Amino acid sequence: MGVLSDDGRPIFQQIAEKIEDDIIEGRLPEETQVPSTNQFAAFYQINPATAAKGVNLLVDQGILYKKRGIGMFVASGAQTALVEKRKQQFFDQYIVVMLREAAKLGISPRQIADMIQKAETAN
Amino acid sequence: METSRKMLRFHWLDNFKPLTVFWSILLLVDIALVVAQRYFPEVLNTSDNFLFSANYGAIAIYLLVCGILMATSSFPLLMSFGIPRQKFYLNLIGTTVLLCAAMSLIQNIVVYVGYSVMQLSGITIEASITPFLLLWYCQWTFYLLDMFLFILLGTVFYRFGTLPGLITIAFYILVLNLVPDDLDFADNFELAASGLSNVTLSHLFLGITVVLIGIGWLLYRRAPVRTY
Amino acid sequence: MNSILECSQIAKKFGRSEAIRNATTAFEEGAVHGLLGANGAGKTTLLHILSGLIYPSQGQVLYDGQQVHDNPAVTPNICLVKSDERSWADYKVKDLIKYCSLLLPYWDEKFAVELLRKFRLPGNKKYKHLSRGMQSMVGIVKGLASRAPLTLFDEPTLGLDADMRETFYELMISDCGERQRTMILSTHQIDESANLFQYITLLEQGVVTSHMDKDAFVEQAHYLQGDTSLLLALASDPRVLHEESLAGTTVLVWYGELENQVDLERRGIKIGPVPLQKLFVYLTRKGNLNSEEKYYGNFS
Repeated sequence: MGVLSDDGRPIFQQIAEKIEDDIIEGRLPEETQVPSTNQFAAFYQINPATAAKGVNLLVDQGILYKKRGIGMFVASGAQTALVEKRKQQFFDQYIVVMLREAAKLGISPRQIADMIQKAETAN
Repeated sequence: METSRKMLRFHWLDNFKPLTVFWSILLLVDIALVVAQRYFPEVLNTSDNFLFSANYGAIAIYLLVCGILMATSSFPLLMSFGIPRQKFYLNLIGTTVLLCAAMSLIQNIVVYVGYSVMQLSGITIEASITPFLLLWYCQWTFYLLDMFLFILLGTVFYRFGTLPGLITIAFYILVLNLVPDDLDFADNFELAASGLSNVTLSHLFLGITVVLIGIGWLLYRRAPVRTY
Repeated sequence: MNSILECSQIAKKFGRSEAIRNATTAFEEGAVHGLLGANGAGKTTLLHILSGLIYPSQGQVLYDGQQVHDNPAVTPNICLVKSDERSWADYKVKDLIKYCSLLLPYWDEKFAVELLRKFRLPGNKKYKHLSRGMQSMVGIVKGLASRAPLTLFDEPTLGLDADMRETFYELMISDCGERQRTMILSTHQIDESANLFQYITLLEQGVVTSHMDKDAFVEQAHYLQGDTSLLLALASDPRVLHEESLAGTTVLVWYGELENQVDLERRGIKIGPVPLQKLFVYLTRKGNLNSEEKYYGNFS
């Protein structure tokens, strides 16, 4: 059974994001078929309509497309498009949040830059 | 109609086992009575004519219980299968008519066969046996009234509760007491049926049953099914 | 989405008590609906009225535009699974299933047998001799294998252990996906079932106060957590369902339009979603506070 976040974000959104992650990380290459809504529903134990909502979200964004009689497929160019989108979100989701937390702890942007350096060299 | 046939089949499946048990016991008792009458008539001390009269009472009681159960048990059961009330009620009438006809037919056959066996084995029968169809009709109308009275009683219990049910029983007893004593013919069906005046009584029973059926519909039209 | 079942101005009185005061709503076809309400809110009565087993004191129920009550064209399409079926008491499980297959027009015998096996229900035992959970399971078998276009379940999970509840949810999900069945479920296991529901209908003290998409319903509420000094001003707003404080931190449950959300977040107030069950509990409690019904006063 698939596990979803308990953070209260709408389930259909989480389904959409899981598919996006799979595409970005290469688990779902372009022009391959995506599992059916019933399969998502059974796996995450949610209502098929909710799963459909998530899938349709990506269809609307052009990430997925429907092949009549067969199912949903990953559109070509989807990976690049998603990476771009995530890069845009990166700033709000990570940078802003990080800076806010740093401010709370009294860590200056300079110190953050040092920390980043340290993390890089540790790899 | 499709559903009607299915409901009849339901009533059949629901009842055939208890019916089989009932008739088996009854027939065993009747056979024992015939044997006793042949070999130990002093023990029985009863006239040949009324050898099988206990059967009538037993059947009446069986049908009475059946009637109550149809109202209190079959009604919610069938309603939970999506049967509309009119269909249920019409089918109930049909089932009752058929069941009473069948019971009285079997009893008729038992009486006729029983008397033939008795005559063959040397027992003399005193009075003449009532014509088959007449006896059947008299029994049938009586059982019909009997069963319907108790279907209504069961309905009152189910729909309105114990107190109204008890009041209905009291009402029935009251009415029964008003009935003149020489009409006590549950024991003497055959005697009663052979007297023409009592056929009128059977017609009366039928008429009363029709009235009861009408009252019953008023109770069933919008009867709520209990939530448990 | 097309509505398959509509009820308008339904009211039901039992003697002097009003079980239902106003139920007006429509249920979308092919979806799983959750019917939520506190004990005594009227869920069982409403489900019985929707399925035609009880006549309302007022109002009507329409299935696909046609009257439900005693309509031979409609009643075979609706199946109600009650939480307590006393009329089944003296029947053996196998006989009940036999009657189901005889009388239910869309019955799927193969599916029923599969379910009986899955639930390990003993065919030869009488219903009254089954445990509470097994009794519920017989009802579930009837409801699911009936394949009725509209199936109503009144607290189907009563007495079911966690394993069987999960099995039930899995079956609901797969059945819902494969067929265009409309299901209305009343349950007290709200968080467990939350993911099943596409729509929520809220019944409060005999009135249907909400019917909407489950996500939209949940999105109406937010937790606001932060410094007491910052939230104190908001605490008296009628949109606050609940308020709790500890050592300088206050949590508010906010139900309704939340203005200047960004501003609040910038001031350090955490804003988060409220899970369905919690939201339901707070709504119920607020409703009880506001309710004019006297409870202990009625013993005279």
